[in-house]
Amino acid sequence: MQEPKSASKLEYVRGGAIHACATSTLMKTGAWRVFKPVVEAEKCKQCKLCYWYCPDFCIQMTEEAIKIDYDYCKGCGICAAECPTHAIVMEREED
Amino acid sequence: MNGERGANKEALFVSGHRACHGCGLALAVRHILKATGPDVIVVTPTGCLETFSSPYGYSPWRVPWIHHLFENAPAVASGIAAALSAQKRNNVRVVVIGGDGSTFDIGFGALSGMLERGDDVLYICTDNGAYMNTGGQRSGATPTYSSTTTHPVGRKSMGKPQLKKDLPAIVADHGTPYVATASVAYLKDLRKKVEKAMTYHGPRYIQIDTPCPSGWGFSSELALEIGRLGVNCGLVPLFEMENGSLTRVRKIRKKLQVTEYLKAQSRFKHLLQEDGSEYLKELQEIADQNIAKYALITSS
Repeated sequence: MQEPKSASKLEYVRGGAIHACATSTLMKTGAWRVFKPVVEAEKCKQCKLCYWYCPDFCIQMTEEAIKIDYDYCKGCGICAAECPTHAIVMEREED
Repeated sequence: MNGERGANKEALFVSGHRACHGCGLALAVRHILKATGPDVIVVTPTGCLETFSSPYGYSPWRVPWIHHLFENAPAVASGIAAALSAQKRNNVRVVVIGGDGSTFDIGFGALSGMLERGDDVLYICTDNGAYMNTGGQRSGATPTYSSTTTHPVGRKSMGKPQLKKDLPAIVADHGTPYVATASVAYLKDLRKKVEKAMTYHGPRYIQIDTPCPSGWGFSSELALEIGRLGVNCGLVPLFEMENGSLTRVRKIRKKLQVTEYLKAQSRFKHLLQEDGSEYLKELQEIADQNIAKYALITSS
């Protein structure tokens, strides 16, 4: 399957077939966000619970702490609510 | 792929899908596919999953996926399984991921046929208890006394008066080799059950409780907490049935009253007012019956 490079290059094919896989990554759902999760790295114990529980799959594991992909995070707050060490806090987005 | 990194690199269901904030279903699908592996064909009847994963041109799937009508997804899955069998491609399996509307109500006839024929299909029902993507109409899976748009609460109504259909028992009565219920609040348990189901051949059925923030009326960050409350009060029993007999249940460590579960959701808020006490008692009885029926609490 061909892989699209940007939204403008999406090709619409005859019959409305889906032309490539995982094209939804071109849709940046981060624009929906009202509250933004912010990680406090010193409190993070790398337990991976937020990685398991994120319904938008925005949590990346790095060497020091977790990293949140704000391109796709919708700001549901599950990571902050489930974090056992309260290392994630929700902050209101600035306009 | 450009613009894709981290958690999405290897995943079979990726970010950018248009599910609501805190959707239990999106989380369930990701973990279902992690458990099944990439060699599957997914069939989805109409429902939330189809709606949020298929805006034209933007697909989060990295496995072959087909959308079909509300009523015939099991029949389509049977056809795909038969075609794979004719081609002798035994490594590819068929999985249906459907909502409760298509499973309990509209597609039930086709599901029953699929189970009776013994086709090699894993049917997963993601149960959020109503037709959520069209605004929350009642379905056969809606819990008793839940307020829905077609059973609204008013002077003469306390929500849906009927019981929730006991579909796992109906499916098990077809002689289905593997029937299980799971909850997104217990993801390891969910993944184990899907992995186990993949080791069986023939029809298999898993029903997953997926909390729905917009439909059930709670704040999105509580999605998993609500799932846990449901399991621990006895209204959502988690069990496995193999060849018609109950083989394993998830025990409740600390039993909660149903009010703990109900008060967190606006679809049940009428039960907590003055005239709701007798209906509350009925729901507690349902939970207690579940606990007794599946032996959810170890007697000490």
